[in-house]
Amino acid sequence: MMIERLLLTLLIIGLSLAVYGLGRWLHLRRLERSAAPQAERPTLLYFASDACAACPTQARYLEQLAQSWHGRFHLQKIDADREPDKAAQYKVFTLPTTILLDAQGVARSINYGLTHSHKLAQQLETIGMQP
Amino acid sequence: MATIRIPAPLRPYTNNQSSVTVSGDSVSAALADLNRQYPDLQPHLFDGEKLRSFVNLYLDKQDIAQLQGLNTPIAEGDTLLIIPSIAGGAPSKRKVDQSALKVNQAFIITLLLLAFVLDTAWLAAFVAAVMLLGTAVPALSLFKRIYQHLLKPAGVVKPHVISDNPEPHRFAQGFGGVVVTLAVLLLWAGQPFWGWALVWLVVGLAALNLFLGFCAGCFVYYQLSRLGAPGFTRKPIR
Repeated sequence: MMIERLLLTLLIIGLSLAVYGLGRWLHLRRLERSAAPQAERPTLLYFASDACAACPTQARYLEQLAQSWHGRFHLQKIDADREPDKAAQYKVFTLPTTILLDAQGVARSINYGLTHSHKLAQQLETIGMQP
Repeated sequence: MATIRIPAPLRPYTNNQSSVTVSGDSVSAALADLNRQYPDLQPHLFDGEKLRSFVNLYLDKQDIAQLQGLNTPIAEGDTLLIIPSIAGGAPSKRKVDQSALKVNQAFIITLLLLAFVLDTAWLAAFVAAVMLLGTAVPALSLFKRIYQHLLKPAGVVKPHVISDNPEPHRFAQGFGGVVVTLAVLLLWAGQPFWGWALVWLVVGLAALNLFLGFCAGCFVYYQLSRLGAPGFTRKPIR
C-alpha cells in the first residue's frame, strides 16, 4: 500500500512538472509567433506592478545584472497595471515575470516569479551573449 | 576595534545583531570588515563599489559626508551609525523574510506528502496544528522557529527580507490549516478520497507559492481587502 502511494505521489509530481514544462514551452512558442520588432541587442522584458511584493527585489537583481553586463542587453520594464495590454500580449499571468528576447525579437526564455541574476545570466549566455 | 550600529531593517543580515565589532582605521575599512563578516549585507549597503544613496553614516553623531567621507579615520572605541535616509515618503517598515516563508512551505509540503505516503492522518493533523498555531501566534510557528534558530544561523538558508505585509501570509497559512483540519476530519470519518484530495490541494497551493512565488491566500486576502471585508485591512505595499 505504501509503495502504491509513493508511486502515485511520484506520478502526480512528475505529471505536474510535465504540465508546467509543457505550459512554459507552449507559452514561449506562442510568443515566438508574435515576435517583437528587431532590436540591435537582446531585450529583457520585466513585468511588474506596485502591488507585487517580490518586484522591487527583482528590479534590484536586474539592475545589478545590467550593470555587470555593461548595457549589452536592453532592460525594459512593463507595469502590468498601467500597461495591461502589453501584459496580455505576452500572456503574463504572474508577477514578476521576465522574458528574454533575442536581437531578432524572438522570445527565448521565460521566468515566472522572482528569478535570480545568475539564472538570467545563464539564459543570456545560451543566446550567445558574453558578459 | 570600533562598533557599527545596525538599523533594524538590516539586522536579519547580521544574525539580528544590533551592533557589530569591526576592525579598520577608516570608515571604508570598517565597512569592508562588516561586509566580510556578513556578506549578505553588502548589496544592501553598496551599489557595486558605491555606497547606496539612501545610506547615511554617522561617526559619533557627525555625518561622515561632512568629514572625509569614506576615508574618515576611525579610532579605537568609535561608533559608526548606519542610518537609512527617508526621501519623499517613509520606506515601508513592514518586512517579511521570504526565506522563512519558503522554509515553512517546504516543511508543510514534505510532511503532508509523507502523511499521504504513510497513510497517516495523525501526521496531517500535526501539520494542521502547527499551521493553525503559527497563524494564531506567529512567534510559535514551529517551522519558522526551526529556520530562525537552526537553518539561518547554520547558513543553510540565507535570509531574504523584503517589504511586504505579514497579514496576507498569515491568512494563507490559516486557511491552509483549516483545509488540512477538514481533511483530517474526513479521513477520520472514513472518507479517505476526499480527505487526501484536500491534503493534495494544500500541497499544490503551497508548491505554487514555494516554486512560482504565487500566494493564492494572499491574493484572496487582498481581494477581500479591496471589497472592504472586515478584518482585511492591509493594502499591497506600493
